[in-house]
Amino acid sequence: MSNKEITTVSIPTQLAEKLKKRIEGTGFTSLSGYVVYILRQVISSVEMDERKKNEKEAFSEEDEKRVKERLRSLGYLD
Amino acid sequence: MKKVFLFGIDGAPPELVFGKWLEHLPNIRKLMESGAYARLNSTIPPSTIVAWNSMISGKDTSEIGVFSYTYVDDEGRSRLVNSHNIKCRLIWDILKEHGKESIALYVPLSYPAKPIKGLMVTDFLTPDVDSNCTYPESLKEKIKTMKNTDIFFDVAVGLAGHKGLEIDVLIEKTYEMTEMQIELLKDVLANEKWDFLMAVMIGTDRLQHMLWNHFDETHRRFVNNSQHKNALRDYYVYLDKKLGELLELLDKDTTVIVASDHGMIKQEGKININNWLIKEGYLFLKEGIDLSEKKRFSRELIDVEKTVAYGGGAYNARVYLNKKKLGKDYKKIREEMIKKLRNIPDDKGNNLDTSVYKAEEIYKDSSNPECPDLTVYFDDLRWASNPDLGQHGIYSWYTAVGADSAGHSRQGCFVISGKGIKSKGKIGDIDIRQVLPTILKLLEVKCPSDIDVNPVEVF
Repeated sequence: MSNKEITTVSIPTQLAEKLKKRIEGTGFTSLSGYVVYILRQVISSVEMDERKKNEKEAFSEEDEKRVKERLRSLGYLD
Repeated sequence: MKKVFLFGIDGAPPELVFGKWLEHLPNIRKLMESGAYARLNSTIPPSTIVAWNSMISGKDTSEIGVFSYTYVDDEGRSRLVNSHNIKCRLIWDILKEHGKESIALYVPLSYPAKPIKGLMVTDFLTPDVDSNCTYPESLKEKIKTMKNTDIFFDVAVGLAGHKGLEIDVLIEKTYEMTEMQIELLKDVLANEKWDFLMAVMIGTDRLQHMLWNHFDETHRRFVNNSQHKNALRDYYVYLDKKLGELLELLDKDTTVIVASDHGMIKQEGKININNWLIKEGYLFLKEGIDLSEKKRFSRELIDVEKTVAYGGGAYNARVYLNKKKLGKDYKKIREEMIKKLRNIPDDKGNNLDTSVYKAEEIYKDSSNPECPDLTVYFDDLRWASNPDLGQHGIYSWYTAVGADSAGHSRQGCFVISGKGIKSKGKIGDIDIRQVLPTILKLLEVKCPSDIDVNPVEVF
């Protein structure tokens, strides 16, 4: 990875110490690696929740009923 | 400045466009002669909403994450898919990163509209013009000035259902819809800034499902001397003329692609997949379910304790196995089922040319719970799948909603013409996913590393 693809962020020392303690036994060899892992997990879970929310809210109940009927009439729906 | 215009014709079959009707389609023919053309292998299954998105993402069905028009949400309810169900990046997401502008008109599964760098008008799944159907929202004002906005997105809207329509009315309304769609397309093509413009015409698909048996003499429900014998061909002639008008508006550096997402094939009938699974002892329904009348299949009807498999699907069949129940017997039972599915004959006892695909053989990621264990093309899609219950036996000609005279087939069309296209005339079959890297190459945009396919060999 080139330097351009890495940036530096600051976290409180106390939090860093807390995380260091948690690294033991995880297989991670650096604090940065562990922090990246945690952030990716968090962001992926947030994105998943957002996507699920968007999926569910895309159609109002009435709209969904109407479009489903249309698709049935086309033979597209099971 | 290099630009790409993709004119999508939903379900245009190569047998008609490149063959039987080509002499009537001068503009498509001109593009085929000045550039290159190929048969395009669609997604599995060749479903409209999946295939177009594969074409503009370079991804397979499983990576897109959409297998049919419905999905089960986290509360266990069957919901209609929408643009948020698409898990991968689409071409406008990639082009945006390179500062390029896109216009996306009527691209299947684009509802609700998403903010892109450019403009978007959503597809046939759009509820109505008051919904979230354009980006930016102000664009919908143009649609609202048109004379019949009810059918702007789909001719099947608000009418007695597509198959309940008189054919005359269906044809008339399809032209009306297309006129409005082309009017907006011409407007944005000529007056807005874009590097990539894509528009998908759905009228062909809507007419093909209904009109196939009016011209195909080999169809078992062929209508002899039908007054609609040439109606579908005439619509293609009309679309070709409109394409010619659009080409006139393009500058010389624009590469033109004409493509379809899948082809079309006459439909002989339907295999009642769940009746067959019941007969073979794979599917058990809860006690007390009345099958004396036609009934739409739903998962709630299943006796989960006893059931090994259930089916879904419209043109192809999707079969889901109960992995929990089968445990280590999963593979054995699946093999046994494949053999039996391949041996289902037609209603007259003739062999069918049936293909059965296992999830892991055709998909990159088969872990999605919506991913069927088996995908079945009965007689290479000449026989459709009918999941309804209460039908007598394993064959039917109508579903609960009516009959189709044609279904989707495996191959669509691909034509490309422009300055950078070196190949001329017919080239070998292409994979639908190759369209994305081809467009990126034309626009001099680096293809993302997660795309597994190469551009079409025309450069």
